[in-house]
Amino acid sequence: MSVRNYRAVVDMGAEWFIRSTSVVILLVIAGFFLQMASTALPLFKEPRISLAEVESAVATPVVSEIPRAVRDTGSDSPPLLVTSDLSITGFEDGIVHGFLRTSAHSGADLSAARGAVTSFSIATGLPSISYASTIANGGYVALFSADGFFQLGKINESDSAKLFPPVRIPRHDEVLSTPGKRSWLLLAGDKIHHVHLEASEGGLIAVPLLEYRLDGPALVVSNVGLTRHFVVADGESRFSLYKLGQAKSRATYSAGASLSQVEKIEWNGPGHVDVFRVNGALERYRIDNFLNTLDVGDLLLPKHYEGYSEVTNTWQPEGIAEGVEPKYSFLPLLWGTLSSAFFALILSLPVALGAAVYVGYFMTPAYREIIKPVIEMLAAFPGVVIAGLAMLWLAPRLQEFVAELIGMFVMIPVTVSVLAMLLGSRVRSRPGRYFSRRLPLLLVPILSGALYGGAWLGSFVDAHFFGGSLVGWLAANRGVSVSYFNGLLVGLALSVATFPVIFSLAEEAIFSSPNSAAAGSLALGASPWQSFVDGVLPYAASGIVAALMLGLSRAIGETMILLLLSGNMPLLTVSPLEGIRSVAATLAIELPEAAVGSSHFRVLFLAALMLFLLTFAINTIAQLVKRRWHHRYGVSA
Amino acid sequence: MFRRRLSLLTLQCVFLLAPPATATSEVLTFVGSDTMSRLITAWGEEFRQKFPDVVVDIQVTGSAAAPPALAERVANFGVMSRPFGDGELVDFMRRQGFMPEGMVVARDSLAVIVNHQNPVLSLSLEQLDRIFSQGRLCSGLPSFTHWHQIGSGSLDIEEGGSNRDRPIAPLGRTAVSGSYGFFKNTVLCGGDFHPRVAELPGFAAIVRAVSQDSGAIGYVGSGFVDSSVKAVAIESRIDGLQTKNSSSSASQPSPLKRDLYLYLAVVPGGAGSVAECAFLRFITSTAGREILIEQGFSPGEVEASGVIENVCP
Repeated sequence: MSVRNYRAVVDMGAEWFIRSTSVVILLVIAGFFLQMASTALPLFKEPRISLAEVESAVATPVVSEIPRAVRDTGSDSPPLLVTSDLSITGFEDGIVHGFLRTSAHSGADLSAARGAVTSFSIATGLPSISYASTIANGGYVALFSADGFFQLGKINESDSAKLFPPVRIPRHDEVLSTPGKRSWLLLAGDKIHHVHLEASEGGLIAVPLLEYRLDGPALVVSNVGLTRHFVVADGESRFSLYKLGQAKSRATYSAGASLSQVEKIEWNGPGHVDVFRVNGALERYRIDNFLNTLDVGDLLLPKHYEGYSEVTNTWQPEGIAEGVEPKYSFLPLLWGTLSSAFFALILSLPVALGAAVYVGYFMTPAYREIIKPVIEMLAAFPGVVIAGLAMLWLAPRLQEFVAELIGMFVMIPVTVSVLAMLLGSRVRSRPGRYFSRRLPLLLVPILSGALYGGAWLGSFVDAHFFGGSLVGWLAANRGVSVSYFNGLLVGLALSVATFPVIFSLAEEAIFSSPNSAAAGSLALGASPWQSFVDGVLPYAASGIVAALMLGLSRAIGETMILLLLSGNMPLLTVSPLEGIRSVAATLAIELPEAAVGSSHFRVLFLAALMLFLLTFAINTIAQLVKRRWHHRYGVSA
Repeated sequence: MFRRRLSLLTLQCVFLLAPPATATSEVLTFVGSDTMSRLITAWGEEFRQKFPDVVVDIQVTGSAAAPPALAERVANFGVMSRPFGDGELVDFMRRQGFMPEGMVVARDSLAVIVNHQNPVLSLSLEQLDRIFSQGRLCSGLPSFTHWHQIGSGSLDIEEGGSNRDRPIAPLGRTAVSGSYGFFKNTVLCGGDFHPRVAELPGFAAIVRAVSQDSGAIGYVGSGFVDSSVKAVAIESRIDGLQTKNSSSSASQPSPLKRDLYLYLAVVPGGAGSVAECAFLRFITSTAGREILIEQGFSPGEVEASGVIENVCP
């Protein structure tokens, strides 16, 4: 084989290798996408009820004969110094009976000393009690009266009970405690009222949260285990599955009118509901896809969550305590990601583009060869290093120097504008002299002076109008809450990360655009700036837009800076002085602990998918813009 | 020619990938809680003095990382500041077919810390609920947002504090942390944290932030409290009697006291490895207990010794 043939074969091989690599990369991207989508999308499956088996003549399980009492203790009590188990044994005509068991660790001896059991009987003010239950925080009893009253009692060991004033709630026939014992369902004909506890000036009060409207009067309502779902059987042999906090039923099954009435519904392990009929028949129903599924509304719409006193968008996944409603609102996370990227670009874009224009077009090549690698060295800092430095050095100083920073931000453009006004005509008349290699050296002291002056102005204003602490003044007088970890801090750190990316690409685009148009324009007497704007910018614009987009992608995908500096607070505020929580940081925090296949896990993958689509869209836009410019100016940069 | 270069390359790769060969070395891998990281590190160092062949590898993320690591058998010990959850047990059973062995090896308390400029000396659990909670199920009262709302005119306030106008900036751990869950269950009655509670990835970060922000308050493992911050006393009720305890010392009772666990996966009827058993015996020895107390924990060896007899016959 001749050398020539050999090389041709090698060339062909190389070409095929490169082609196949790009195909592999595309496949990997598609694979990532499919993996994320297939993990996330089961989240939106529709629940379904179906009949699994029917048995006739089964004895209904015996219900213990304590008169409509709840025999639950105050959940698994946390290892408090003083723990108390509250039990209610019964109630009649406005009097509740029960006992309170306290145990205490005494002194340095850590073995639990069993405390006394105190039994109590409280005469409540209520005319009659239809239902009583303990609540999740222990020590409290919730008392219901069917004529529409609710009363809360606090039982403690020294003085037997403290009763809170009764509050009005909707009239009802029956009460059902929801899992977690933080709220109750009041059954009233074809309506079910969801009542929960809210904190207020006078302590906990019961407030209607939501109303579930049924198609017909409910016969039996039963919790589906601890899953925050309940099943309603109505008079027309229809079963509906409801989710707590969601007014519309999630699934309905029509059993046909021929069957006799329902006596009792029991949750029987994962996915099965046993329905006992009055005539002794047992039907076993399967409920599919109701666990670990959500509606889109849960992710995007503001909700009145159980136990909250207002309608909010918040992110707080599965609680550790049983039966607590998980909160999966994407809005605070998306807002955190976008606002932090916005802060970063606001800070880094003017500087990066200004530097790119100067270094790429005006600066003497000899200087450029020094300054460009120096600036690009910034890109060598990994996000975690920037975050660590910002945490150690910047964070403690930021609150003190907010006024000075604002002064600097104001002073730089003001100085530049004033200089331009003063010197502009001279520069235009004798461009060669001023756009010289000495210009940067001249600008260094002027701009440093401007920075110093800005800082001085800031501290002067701070000292004379805001009592020396702008942040403290804002907090005290304007009610602005200021966090130690905040958007400004994140923005500053992120701008350090995005600055070299934007600078480097934009500078490269400007420097490598063809020189002929600018040279011609200069030769015809245009000023360097005019030549730049008309002769270079059109060619470089696509590259500059691409630089901007890549900077944006970097800011959106950055994880460590946000994880360490944002405070990870899922807030929806415009103030840059408050904490934020980004999608990427949330993924970093929560993915390791989310159980595979749980709704939390799926929601996180949906967030990852969203992040991917966001950066994908940004990159696509960058490509499209680039292509358009190329088309118009016929360059291939 | 070409082929020889290739083989040389592969050889180099093999050399680079192969672990350093020491004949008898065994690696003990610990995965889990940040609270116990300093304790395990201190134990590990002392243990290495006696058993130089054993390499101690500690991976700190949070208690939630321990069960999966143990179930995958990539860790010898799961280090947890809370017991296994039900879901985690089920998951472990499904993968391994038996229950993990767990033991209480130490007890510690969470301390609530504030800045030195903060005049507050003590807080009740109810006040903590009003600071940290969104729903405030424990106290049932409105949120505290500024420091001047707390304890005005009470004895629990030092003279001359300068942060009274500051908004309260609560700090906590991320949800991976066992302390996050413990605080949530104990202080918030299982309710939600307020969205304004910052979630930081480590106790050291909380201590640093609290030492620098006069409005901050945070909860940390008592071993992390140092002179840069002030631990406030937590008030609790025993039989109607108001008592105050400084939660900074583990030897005094505190409402925020909890057990710390080591978990290991041992096949029923089988035994732990030599190194695992040696480590367990070491931490329950006098030397181990001294280190434990030195690090600000109190011993919990009563339960540990029983497990050790089972695991290491």
